[in-house]
Amino acid sequence: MKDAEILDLYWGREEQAIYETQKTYGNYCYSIAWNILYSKEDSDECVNDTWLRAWNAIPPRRPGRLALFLGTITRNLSLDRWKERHAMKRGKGEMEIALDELAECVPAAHDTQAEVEAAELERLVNDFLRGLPERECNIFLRRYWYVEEYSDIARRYDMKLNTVKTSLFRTRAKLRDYLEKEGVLI
Amino acid sequence: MKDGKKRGAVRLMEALSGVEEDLLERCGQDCRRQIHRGLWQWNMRTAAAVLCLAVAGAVSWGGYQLSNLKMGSSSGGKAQMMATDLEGDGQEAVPEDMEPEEFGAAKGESALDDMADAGGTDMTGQREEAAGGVGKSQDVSTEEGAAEENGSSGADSDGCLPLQSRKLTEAQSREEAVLGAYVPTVLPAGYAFEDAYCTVDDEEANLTVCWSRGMDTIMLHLRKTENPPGTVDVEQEESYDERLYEIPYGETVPEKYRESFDNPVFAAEDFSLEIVESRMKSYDDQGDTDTPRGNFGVLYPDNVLVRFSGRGTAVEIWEMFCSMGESK
Repeated sequence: MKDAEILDLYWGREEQAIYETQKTYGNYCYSIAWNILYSKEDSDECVNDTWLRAWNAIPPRRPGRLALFLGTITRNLSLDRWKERHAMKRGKGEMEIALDELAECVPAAHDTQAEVEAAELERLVNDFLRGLPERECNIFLRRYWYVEEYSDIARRYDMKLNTVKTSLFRTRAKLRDYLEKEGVLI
Repeated sequence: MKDGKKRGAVRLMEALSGVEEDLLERCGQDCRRQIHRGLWQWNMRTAAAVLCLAVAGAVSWGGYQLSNLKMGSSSGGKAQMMATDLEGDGQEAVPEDMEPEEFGAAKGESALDDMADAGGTDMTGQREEAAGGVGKSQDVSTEEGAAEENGSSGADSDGCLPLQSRKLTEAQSREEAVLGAYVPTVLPAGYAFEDAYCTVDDEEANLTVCWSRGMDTIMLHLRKTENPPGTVDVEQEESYDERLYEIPYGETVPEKYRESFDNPVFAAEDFSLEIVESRMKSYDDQGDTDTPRGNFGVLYPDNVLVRFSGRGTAVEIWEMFCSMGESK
């Protein structure tokens, strides 16, 4: 089923929209979640949550590229899940929990500041990626957006494994220099 | 400090969620182009090689004429270098020795580790911490043997056609019909399984298995072929022995041996430790390990071709080959 037809189902509030999305983009979203989480259970949950988010977001949204829209949701959910899981593993630490609790007391202005900083970082990253040669940018995104393994990227682009690694190493160094030049402190 | 860097890496990962759609779309299109290109790429490479040779010939001839006219000395070497440069433009030939020490071991390295590097992180000690996160879970997933067709073989709906390969665990690779028996049971110390896959679309049975040990990797491409390549004459050592030549090989290896020297295939009955020794060589590359590295192929009587590329001492690699077929 084409994107437009799936979106029509969403707009018509027909639950078949979820089924069709799952059918068309299930594997795609699952692979994004899997690459980040490496856990079937967590990946399944993130993908299911993706459908729920999409259901809540459409309408009013009508994404131009449904795959990327869904992929981005899955990626964000997976990153959140990863952080959550990671924090749990680390943190018998009450300190972590205490900090979380205290974070609720931080004035909203700080949240706004953080959001602005995040938006600025996004903008800078986008600018940086636009300045890269196309192939280099694509390899970078394959690794850090889709979190694909080196070997998968090498196969995908018919490149040597070491070439992929070297390309990524150079791009990371460029990104570091770029962010430093822009005065970004992460 | 470590936490700070990791947080920075996570922030970068999150910032990447805001990558503009056209960049992601382009990424998918590039991949699709690559797949479409695959079928005729070989022909294009051949054509490019012929073109390069023609250009090299023209340049050499021109240089030769010029030197005869002006200096009376040969400029063929320079012309050859120019030709080599031209050839280089057609490929993404990033030299292996450019790879830095701390980078390159895909095993246990997570994307977050990499991103931390972009944020100015010294990698030392970072991996250990990451083991609690993605890096560790990669290992776990490998052990669990979830040989599902995730990622590369899933429906890549952003425009990329799915790669028609099937991922396997190490155990599953050993169980593969025909080729599984050629997966070695003995590996150089410290190597751990990284991944294995077979290309589904290929008419011939094939299997690729990769192991890694820090920056070192061993990759085996196994194929049951109906068109076996020619094997080298082991008596003719100059056609494959790397010890006989100095780098750059392009200037020292005679042209008639270049093909066999580049990727020799030995008949299994001729294969020996001496041959492995002739192909495993240490290079003094800055920032690289000094583990000997090499590549070659072995053709077995049942037309199974094993192409090896990787690192280890000659004895280790020989023992690895000896362990092939033990399960047959």
